[in-house]
Amino acid sequence: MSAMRFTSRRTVLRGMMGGTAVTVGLPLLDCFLNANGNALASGKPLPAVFGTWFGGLGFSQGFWEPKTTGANYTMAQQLVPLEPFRKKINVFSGLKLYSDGKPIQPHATGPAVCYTGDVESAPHLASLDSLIADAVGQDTRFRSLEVACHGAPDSFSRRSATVRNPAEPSPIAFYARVFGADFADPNAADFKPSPQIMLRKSVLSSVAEQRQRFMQDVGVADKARLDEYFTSLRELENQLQLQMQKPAPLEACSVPNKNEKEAPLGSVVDDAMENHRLFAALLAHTVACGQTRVFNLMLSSAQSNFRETGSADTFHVVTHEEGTDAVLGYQPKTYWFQQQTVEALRVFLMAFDGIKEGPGTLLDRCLIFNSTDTGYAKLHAIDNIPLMTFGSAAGRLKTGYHIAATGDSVTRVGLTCQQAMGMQVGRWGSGGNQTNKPFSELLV
Amino acid sequence: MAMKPPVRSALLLALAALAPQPAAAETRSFVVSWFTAAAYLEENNCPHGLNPDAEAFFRRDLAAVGESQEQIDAILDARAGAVVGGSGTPAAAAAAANALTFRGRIDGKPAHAYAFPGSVPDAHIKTIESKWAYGFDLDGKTGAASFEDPDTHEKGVDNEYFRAIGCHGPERPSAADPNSTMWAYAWHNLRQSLPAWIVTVEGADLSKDGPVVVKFEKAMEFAPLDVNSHTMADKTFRIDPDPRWHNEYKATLKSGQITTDTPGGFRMLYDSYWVPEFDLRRARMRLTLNPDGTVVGIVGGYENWRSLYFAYASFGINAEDQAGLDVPGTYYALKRLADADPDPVTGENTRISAAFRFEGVPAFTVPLRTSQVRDR
Amino acid sequence: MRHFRNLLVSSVCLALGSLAPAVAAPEPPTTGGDVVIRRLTPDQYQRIVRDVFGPTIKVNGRFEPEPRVNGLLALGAGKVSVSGAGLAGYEAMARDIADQVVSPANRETLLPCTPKEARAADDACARQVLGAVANLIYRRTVSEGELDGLVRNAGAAAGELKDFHAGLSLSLAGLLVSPEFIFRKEVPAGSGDRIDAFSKASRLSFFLWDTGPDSELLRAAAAGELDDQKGLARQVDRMLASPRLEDGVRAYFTDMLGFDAFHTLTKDAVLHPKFYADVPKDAAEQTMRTIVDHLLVRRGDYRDLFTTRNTFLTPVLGAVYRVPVAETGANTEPSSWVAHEYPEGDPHVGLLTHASFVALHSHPGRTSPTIRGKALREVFLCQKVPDPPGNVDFTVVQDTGNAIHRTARERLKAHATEAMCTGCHKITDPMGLALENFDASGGFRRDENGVAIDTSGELDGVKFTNVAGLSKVIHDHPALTSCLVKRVYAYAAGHQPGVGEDAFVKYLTTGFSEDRYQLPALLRRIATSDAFYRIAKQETAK
Repeated sequence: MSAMRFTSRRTVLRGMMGGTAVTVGLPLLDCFLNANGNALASGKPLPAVFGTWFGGLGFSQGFWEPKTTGANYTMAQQLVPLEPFRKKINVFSGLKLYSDGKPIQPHATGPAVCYTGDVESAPHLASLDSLIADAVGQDTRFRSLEVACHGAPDSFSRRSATVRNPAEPSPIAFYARVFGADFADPNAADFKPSPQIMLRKSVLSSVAEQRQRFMQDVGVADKARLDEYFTSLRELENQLQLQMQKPAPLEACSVPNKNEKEAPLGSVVDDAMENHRLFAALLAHTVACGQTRVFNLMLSSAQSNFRETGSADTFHVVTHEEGTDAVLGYQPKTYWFQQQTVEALRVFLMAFDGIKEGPGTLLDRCLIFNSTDTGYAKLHAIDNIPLMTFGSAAGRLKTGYHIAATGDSVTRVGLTCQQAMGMQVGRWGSGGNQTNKPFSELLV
Repeated sequence: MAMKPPVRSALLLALAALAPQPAAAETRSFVVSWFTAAAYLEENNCPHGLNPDAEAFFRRDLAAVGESQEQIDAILDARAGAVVGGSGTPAAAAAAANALTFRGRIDGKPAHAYAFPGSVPDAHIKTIESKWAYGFDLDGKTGAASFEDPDTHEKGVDNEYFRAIGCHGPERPSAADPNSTMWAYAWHNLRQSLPAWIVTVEGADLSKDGPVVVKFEKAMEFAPLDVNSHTMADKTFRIDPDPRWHNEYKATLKSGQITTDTPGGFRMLYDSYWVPEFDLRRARMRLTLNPDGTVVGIVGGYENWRSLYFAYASFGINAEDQAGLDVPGTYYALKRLADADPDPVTGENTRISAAFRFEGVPAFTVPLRTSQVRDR
Repeated sequence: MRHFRNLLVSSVCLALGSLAPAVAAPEPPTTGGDVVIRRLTPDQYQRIVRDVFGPTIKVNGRFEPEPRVNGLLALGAGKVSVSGAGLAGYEAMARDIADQVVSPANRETLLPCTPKEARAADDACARQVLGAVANLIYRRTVSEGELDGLVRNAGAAAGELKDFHAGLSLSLAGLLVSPEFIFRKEVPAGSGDRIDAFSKASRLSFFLWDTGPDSELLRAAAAGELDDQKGLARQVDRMLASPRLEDGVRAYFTDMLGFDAFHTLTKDAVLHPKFYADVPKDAAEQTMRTIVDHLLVRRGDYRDLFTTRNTFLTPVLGAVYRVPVAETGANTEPSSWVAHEYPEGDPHVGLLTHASFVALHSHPGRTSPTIRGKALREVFLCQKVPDPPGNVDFTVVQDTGNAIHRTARERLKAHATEAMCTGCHKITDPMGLALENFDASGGFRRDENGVAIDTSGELDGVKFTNVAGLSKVIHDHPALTSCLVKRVYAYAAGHQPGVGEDAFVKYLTTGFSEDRYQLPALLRRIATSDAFYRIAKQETAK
């Protein structure tokens, strides 16, 4: 009887946990990691990490979309600085927002749909990153971390309309929060296994005990199929067993130097770019040290207020005022501001790709969702919103593709991200923005 | 807006069967996909340059009402820092916005610059100086101040609205896209939540020259967009029976171009935050039926200039700070260039000649059932 | 949509008041078929969860796909297992569902009892909850011993976590991960040549309702009523009269018509700009509504589905078809469905002219008479069209801008002059070309590249000049009805009928004709037959 066995397991559980941490003496260089250093010796890979990266006012229509689709696309003019990372970048063009007859609020509607899947950003809805944090962020020190580079605590991350996750605008304060006194070495020897995991495993064991009864009177062909089911069950039990053990030390984790300096917090482009550089490095170390599995970064706000030193005209004003250059085919100053976004992306990708984990890099383990508020900035269009993803979510997302998905809602990318992060979600978004179509061609 | 020519002949029969009213021998309906001020693209029609940006006209206006250089710098510094993420505090931001909004003076006291634009000195903004503008000769006079239409070469064209706003950067179209002005920005953001506008042309045979009837009406539904974010073709609309939004003109079709025969009214519900409704008087219209099944046209007439001013005033500080449009300056230009219907008491003109450009894609129309009228 | 379905349902109930077979011909003997264990389809999984726990519980997750076997995913469900990733998915879904059931928002309405102490085990309450659902989830009477185990699981976890509901949730999740739930296993009765009563109940309910048996059916099975012809007929008639019959009929036709392909259907945005997110959904629904209305509400002749001028449209489908369809609701309400009758002589006749056929069986940017002809033969006539050989040069066919060959007919003619292609294209193209008036998104067109489209052709020796003619030929084709019979039977029984079942399939086909090709009568004939529950003796693995 399954229940009898369960009782005996429970006894084991009591002994193992008893509600207190179990300290296991470990040699410092344990054999937990495999030879490549990117996984536990058992083959369980380091966990995937999700991030969002937002920069306001998008790119210039016709200058960011790759001319070819699929793999091995050629970087379009505006994104050429990202060429070194092309194989780790997916570019999505042609995606739009469906307003469903509701009034469009320029700047607000875009992020609302990208982050919550809902054109009105309905009050009960949590943002994409928050949904993912609910699923993967429970066991880390921080459920999620938010930073903003333009001086204000802006963030699109929210658990509901009333519970927003404010961003940290100061790199110095962020360092103190993550790497200050409360920072715990991920390689420390103390470990407290989760009772939930053990109980889940016990339930699966009792299911496994149904095998004999269920296999009675089964035909030869069917037996092979059911054997597969029970093998899968065993695999899952083993995975849970692994989670009962102390996790592997994080080889790539190193504490960054304390940054004593930061640029003035504000919307002057140069300052924001400098603070972004600091944040990119800090976040990379934070993630490598397993402090969080979800983060949100905002380079500039929606309706970007970036401006050059000494000028009061913001990026946003420029998009409205500036004419389209007849020869170039775009608004030149608008384009210049947009190139700052591209440059920041380059710096960010360098920081994450620069941390090696086994044969790959930290970036490979991440899935970063890059969005903005408008398509064609001069009109504040809500179609052809430029979206990108960086990294492969620890191998669960194919990268290096340009997907031209004209007419589909941006929510397809959000749904793809959730599934790549291992969430059991079949549908996301509401109204015309609801989708049940992830980009399956990218999911591994 | 490329699209395949729709197959109409078979469908017209089906339509005729559905329509309870006798239809003309050939009826073609279109849903309006773009509606913007008709702005002609010309490099040098602002020989004195474009109007200055927000910082410049803020400085100018603040100086004109007697703010010291020091005070002006302080307000603009607060404004620069005011934008979210700036070095200023939210309170300083609000104070700066307030100082700019109330930069008018009445009896020496701060006055709201958009509600009382006359409280800000007239800056005499730059306006169009050129021979060319879209529109119609509305008054039958070909004065020195009138334009010539670049398409029809009609002389004596009255379009003082274009003259008034044409040197604002955001109101100028680009070579790449005629729909890239502030009017296009408004249309883009309103079109999915605006009851659709329907143009209908009726005639004996629209492939031949002859008399036709043109209707410009309001539908009950919004116009949905297709995957390319263009207004979807071949969608069906119910016509709003409200007589206020029913405009009908006798017109003549000649060589594919339709021109209304006599001036008439043009009234259409728009958006309460932009221009609540159009009410053009002595309006004229022309339309071209394109071979691809679409329509483009121009409607011109005399509009109450205060209605047009409202679009700028209701945006207020955002129009100025975010889009760089000088609101009081525009007020003075509209008032000065208004060219029709003087107020019997003050003698000031109450209306300004204007022209608007529209595009449309094929649509079906059905009358609204009585029960649905009750349901509204 | 809900009110529409209710409308349909009440008419169905009326129409099905009496369903006696037209002629009581004797059922021929049969050898029975193989017993095949089937994995629940995603729809079945979701429907059972809804049936057991109510509509507030959402099923979130991805299911592993089934392959299509002999034209049906239902047969593919008998070929698949559960992979490691798949099981992790089932386990996550199960925990998610169980957590929703016991969540503070739902527990008061869904759970029949409250624990004496929320932070401790309560075996009596756990037993009440698990007892109420275990039979429905395992689709049989769960033994007291099994229930004891489930209650102990819940209790042990509740004690460990100091939370009654968390413990209950874990035990519930265990039920949903069990092979008893995920797989439809059919157990031979004592005699060995028929399936047992609970297996009968499952066959019936998945066939007619596409979900697990309800309590009444399980009761009847436990009481031995399904082993008695009268008792069986009573249950079958109850099920045929239920509004859930619509679920079953939709499930069958969704499978047969291959509508799973809509999930991945895309159209070229430049050429077909109206084909946006909702259109594929509406196109599939148009066909489903037409089928349900015709077969269940009107109790129509199956063959008339191919010639009917009646259908249902939304405003956006109206735009695709270029037919005026006005909204009937207020501005911001979702598009509503409108019954639409095409006028006499209109080219839109029957299912073949629905976007769900012509758009589904086209390329993203161009039509394919070949793909349409192949689908027509395979989906509706159960004929197998060979796949194209390798090494074929498709350049001419694909070049819709070809200056010389301006219509699909001309391009295919140029292509099929290659000897290796001629044979197959003769099988598919003459019917496919009759549908050339419908572009790759389902829109109507009279010409292609300025050349009038010639829609003449022939099918199995009968000539026609246009799509109405083709539809008539399909309507009268003997394979149309025999194909449906064979496929419905295979769908219901879980295997392709074998030689030993030929006589029975023939008997069903004759009966279908005697029943004036009414689907509910066919369903009843199968469900009340002896053959449906017969199984061939099989070698069992030890």
